[in-house]
Amino acid sequence: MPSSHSSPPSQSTPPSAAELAVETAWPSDWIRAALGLCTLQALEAGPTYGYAIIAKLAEAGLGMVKGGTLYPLLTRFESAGWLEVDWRPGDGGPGRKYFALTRDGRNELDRQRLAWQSFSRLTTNFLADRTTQPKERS
Amino acid sequence: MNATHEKKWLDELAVELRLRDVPGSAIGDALASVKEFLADSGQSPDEAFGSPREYAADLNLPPISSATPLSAMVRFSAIGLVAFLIFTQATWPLAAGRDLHLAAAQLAWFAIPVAAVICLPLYLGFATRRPWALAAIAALCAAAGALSTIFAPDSAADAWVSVNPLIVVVVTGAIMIAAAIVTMRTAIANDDPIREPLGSPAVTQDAAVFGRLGGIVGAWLFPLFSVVLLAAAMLTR
Repeated sequence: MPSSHSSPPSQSTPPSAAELAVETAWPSDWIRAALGLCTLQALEAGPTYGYAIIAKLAEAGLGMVKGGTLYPLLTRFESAGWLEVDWRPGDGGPGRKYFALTRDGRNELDRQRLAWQSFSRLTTNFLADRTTQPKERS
Repeated sequence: MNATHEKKWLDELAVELRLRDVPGSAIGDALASVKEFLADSGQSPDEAFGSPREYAADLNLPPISSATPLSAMVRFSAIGLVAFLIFTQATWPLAAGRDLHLAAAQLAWFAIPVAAVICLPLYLGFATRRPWALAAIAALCAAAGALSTIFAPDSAADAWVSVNPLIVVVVTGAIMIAAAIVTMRTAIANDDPIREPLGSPAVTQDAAVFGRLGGIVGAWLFPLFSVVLLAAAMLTR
């Protein structure tokens, strides 16, 4: 299981996709909206690779993201200058592509995190305020 | 995991990215990323990434900005092929010292392979993904070409139009040489083998040199065939 903070994840046998599959099935629209920010967050602790990011998101209860969804996102972030990549030799298998946040990437993470917190607070308050519910006519 | 299926999927992804004019180094990076992920997850490529075509589209990797697009290279080769097809019609009349006689039906049938070759860049992606379609189009062109010779007129009286074969040979020969030069130059300029990261090329150095030579020789095939055909016609007249 990849470590969650500071050091790069271990290269010893990662958990399989089946092992990481969780029962939680969030609406796909919610996951789509939060995936970019959560991916940047998964990289905040230090450089890590594609499957470790997916494992970290799954462990956080966000569900099992497909490789076909994550890698195009990482490619876009790399093009935007938010990530830098580094290929490292693997243990007998293929090499690993490590992604790391650049300074721009950290700034973007900070910006998006604040915006998300503000958005989620507003949403939570709105949902908690029963006065916004339509009143029943007697 | 089915290693054969995985290799086929990766090959198809490489083709899809080539069709999008993605640089060889970026293709190698994408292929290595897929291999890494599949080794980690134990999933099949279809399960993790969907179809190669969809995944290539989702990656949206930038194309090579300086090189000639693949479709343009195919167009140059296609121009050479059309010139060669017309050249072949004129060689025997030239050797026999008579005009090139053409019938309307002959030209109509001959227009099929010419149209197929000229339009090749439009359906290149479709045909590359479906080899049976490419084979069917090639068979149709061969049949139409054979039928066009059946309708070739025996005499000037039966001809719809008669032209001097020397003009046809010179013009089509010049077009073939020009197309060969352009094709060879773009093949050399576009030499961009798929390179996996960590400095390991996906093809060996020998294969890369062989491929480069193949591109140069391939560009001059039509002019070479034309010279052989013309020589054979002159010797057997």
